[in-house]
Amino acid sequence: MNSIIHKDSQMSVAFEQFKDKLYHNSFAFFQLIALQALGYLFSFSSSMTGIGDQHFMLSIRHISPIPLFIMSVLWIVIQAFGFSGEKRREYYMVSNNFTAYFSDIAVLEIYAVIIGITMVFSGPMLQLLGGLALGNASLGTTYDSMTVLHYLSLFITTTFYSLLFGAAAYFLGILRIRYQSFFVISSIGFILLLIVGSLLGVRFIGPDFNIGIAGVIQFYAQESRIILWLIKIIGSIGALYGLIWLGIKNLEVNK
Amino acid sequence: MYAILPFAFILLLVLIVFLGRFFGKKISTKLSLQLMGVYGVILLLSPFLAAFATDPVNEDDGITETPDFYYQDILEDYENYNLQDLKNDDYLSILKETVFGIPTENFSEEDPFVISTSGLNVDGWYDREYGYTMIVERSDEVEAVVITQFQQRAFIQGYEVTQGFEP
Repeated sequence: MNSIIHKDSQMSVAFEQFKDKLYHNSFAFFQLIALQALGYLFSFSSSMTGIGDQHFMLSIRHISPIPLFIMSVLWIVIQAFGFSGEKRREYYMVSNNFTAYFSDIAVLEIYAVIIGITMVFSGPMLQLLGGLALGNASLGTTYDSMTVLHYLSLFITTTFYSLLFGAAAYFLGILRIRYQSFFVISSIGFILLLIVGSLLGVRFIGPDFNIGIAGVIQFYAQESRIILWLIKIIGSIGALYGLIWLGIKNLEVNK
Repeated sequence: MYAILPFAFILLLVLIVFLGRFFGKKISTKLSLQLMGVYGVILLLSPFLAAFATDPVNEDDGITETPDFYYQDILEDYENYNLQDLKNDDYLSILKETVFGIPTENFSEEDPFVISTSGLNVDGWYDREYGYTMIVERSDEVEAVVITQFQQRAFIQGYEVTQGFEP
């Protein structure tokens, strides 16, 4: 179906919406800077071990960019919830569900790439901030021994993981829009179902049975074969996109 | 510890959305894009700044750092060292000298006087396997057994950190 007003195809309308969302949602960049500043702060207070006596103190700090990545994921989750909200789609005159879906997902992908780029530069940034903040410290960085391939894998993994979190948050947001009060009830029911399921699983299968976030993280993170990891992550993102499209396809926007 | 992470995540999410409702209108599109540009430039320049702006580590402060595994060379070549050599060695520092008085009973070949790390009462610890090696000198007129513990001196970036490590 072509737009009546602009006589444009759906794809070009979606592209226009994508550019418009990227520009008008630029408060997101301010949020990104604020959250990543918080992330750098948390990175420096991550963990510390020390030895010494009254004459001498040697403390070893492990500065890792994982808190920074968690804050970046929080950022893309906020953006995805925002995009899935109803208000943003009312703004566009020629919007339909397909253009909204396409442009939202495209903007989220751009945001994921931005997170990947910032994570690639997080190592030198941490080193720089460490040199400024910690006075007489000697910084031994593992980033010195990283090659181009390491940076590439850092970029790809952070981009795909943030894309996965963004897609999951967008899916939850679409469910919230679609099944408004039923979504709250069913999420409480899902949590109860998980608790009852884990209790029954422990009762009948054994104490090794475990449902948890750690298991989900292990499914993606503890995979050393590259192709299998790519299949897992791209399959998950594709499945989430399919579910989002099923949820958004015949959604009544303006009630 | 990890159990608290989802709650902290949700709390931060609510906080950020709440702040965005109030401050989202006040920060203009142009200002946000300019800030993002500044942040991007800083990020792109950070490798060069980290390489050139931070102080390089001074390697030569007149302090010769102890070679790695120096003590292993001594242990393999212990026959050519005596106690005085070890005490004069710059790379080693004396950690502790423990004196054991010899019991007054006579010893025979059937009932020898055994010096062993296990079963010794050092610092109130019995039957403890020690990781260090003792080199014992003996002379004809033995009045007491002195166990001298040496420690390899350790430096980190020119600072001596030997006392900080308890073996």
